[in-house]
Amino acid sequence: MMESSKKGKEEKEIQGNAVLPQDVVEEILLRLPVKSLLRFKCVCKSWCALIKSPRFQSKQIQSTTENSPLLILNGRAFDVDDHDLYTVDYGSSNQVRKLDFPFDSFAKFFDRVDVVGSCNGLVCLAFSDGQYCWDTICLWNPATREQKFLPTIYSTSHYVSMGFCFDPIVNEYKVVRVVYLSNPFASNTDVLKSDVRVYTLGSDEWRRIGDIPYHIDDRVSMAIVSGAVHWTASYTYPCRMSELVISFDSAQEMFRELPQPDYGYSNEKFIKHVGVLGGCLSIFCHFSIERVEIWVMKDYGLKESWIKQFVIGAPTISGFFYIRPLGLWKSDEILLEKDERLLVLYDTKSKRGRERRILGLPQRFYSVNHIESLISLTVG
Amino acid sequence: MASAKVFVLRTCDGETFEIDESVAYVSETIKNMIEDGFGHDLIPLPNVSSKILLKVIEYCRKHVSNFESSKKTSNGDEKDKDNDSWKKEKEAVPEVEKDAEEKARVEELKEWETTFIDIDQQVLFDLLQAANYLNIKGLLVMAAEKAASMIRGKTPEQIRETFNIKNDFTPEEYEDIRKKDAMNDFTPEEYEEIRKKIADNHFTPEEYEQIRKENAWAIE
Repeated sequence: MMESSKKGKEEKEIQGNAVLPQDVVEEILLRLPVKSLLRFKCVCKSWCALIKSPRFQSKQIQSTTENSPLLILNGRAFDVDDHDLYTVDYGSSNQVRKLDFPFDSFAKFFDRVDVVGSCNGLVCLAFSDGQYCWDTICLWNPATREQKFLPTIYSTSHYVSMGFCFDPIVNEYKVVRVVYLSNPFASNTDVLKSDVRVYTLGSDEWRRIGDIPYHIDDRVSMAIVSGAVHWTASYTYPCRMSELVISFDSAQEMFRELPQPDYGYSNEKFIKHVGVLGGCLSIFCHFSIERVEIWVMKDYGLKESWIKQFVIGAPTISGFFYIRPLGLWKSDEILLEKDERLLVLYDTKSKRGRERRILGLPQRFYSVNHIESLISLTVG
Repeated sequence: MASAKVFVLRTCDGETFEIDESVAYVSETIKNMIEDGFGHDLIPLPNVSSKILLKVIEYCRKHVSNFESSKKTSNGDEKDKDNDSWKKEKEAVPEVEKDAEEKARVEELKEWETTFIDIDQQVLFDLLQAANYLNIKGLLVMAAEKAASMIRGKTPEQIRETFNIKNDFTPEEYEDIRKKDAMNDFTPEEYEEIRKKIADNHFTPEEYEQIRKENAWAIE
């Protein structure tokens, strides 16, 4: 094939089909924002088919996870009903973008909205008002603007934990909802009765799958690894010791306890949280306001593979109440949420953190890892 | 110095270029041809013009020299000089100390790449073709990123012109796609109309807000 510029314009028009081969077109399309990809479905039939194909959509997720990971910031103003959601990227920009809420008028009925989780670009939102707790749940793709409300369920408890995950084996998105029923007669050693239900995207019901013998500590979870959601949990309630790290496996729809590292901390007290760093399950051990030690499970499920990979201490930590590691950036920096007010990039080599100066950060916020994707909420 | 082996490439317009083995091996295609025994005579590249091959060779030479100097500033083990090393160079190796020299090298490479890829669309497309045919992953990625940045905000019609693609949708199919899959994207005429209306203040603030929300991507 000769260089195109040597041909006359008439020959170009006769050529008809794309000058560039399909795999080169794909390389280019993989680097476009979802906004552009949606529009480019209108270019021609082959582009439309390519952009709609599961294979391309999967590759797009991989590519954007590596190159443009984002955060959703769940605004938490102190005195105002806050429904605001924003996105910001991991490394470069200095400004947030407000997410256009798909149902503003509807949202006004609720006191607050919480992000349960984000998976492959799909976000699970839970609404609550004073009376009920998180019984209105929806799935939403902010990039394509598709939304879907889940079947309503009612809970009579304020102790609810949820998780949103993707089962890669059967390609299904699932929401798990654990409701603990309070029992005024229960002693400290009793296990609260629980009601565990699962919703699968594509179905129209919440299926009850039984109950669990421990108390999940967190309301939501961002720790999704290997098709399973993870939380810390305690044997007793309300005195919670977070002895356990448990998972809900989306494929088998089962809860299990995960082996933890041999911490070796003897009498030092610490608070435990779970998360994900570099695609591996991680446990963050908070020692008061002095330091955070980060354990990473390099080989999922294997106790021997736990290593204490990072320790974050002064000056990054001192003076702040709480540090939440969000994810790795460029293989040797960790993005941290500090005190629900700031984002800090911590360099693991120089052991220094630098605050990311970002315009428009909400007063207080909770960060959730997110990417833009083409994934549709319509199954089949 | 590096190995003395030299290969000769011949372009579709009859020009010949001499390059070192290490430079040649940056192209998987050329590497395979050499390993299959075609390196003794001229290696013909009927799909690549001399203008583009010059650019490709410039990339390959930079890639090799950058790789050499990255070895000096790191104490990593012997990396294989194959196509994946472009990725390893870009990523920081966690166990290695990133000193000032290494940082400077990475900065310089970034600047070089920005200048290198600052080319017009036709050359960029030819470079994409060449990188694909010659199987040079790093160059393909760099060129694809540049192409993506150039086409981001364009309308479907502009894309068709850029890529020389025929619109093979019937008007009904196109409308269908536009409404359902492309989420109601505007035609250029509709867009113009809305822009005019906004300029003439035809919309109430609520109407404008509604339009902006539903079709924000049309109004970038």
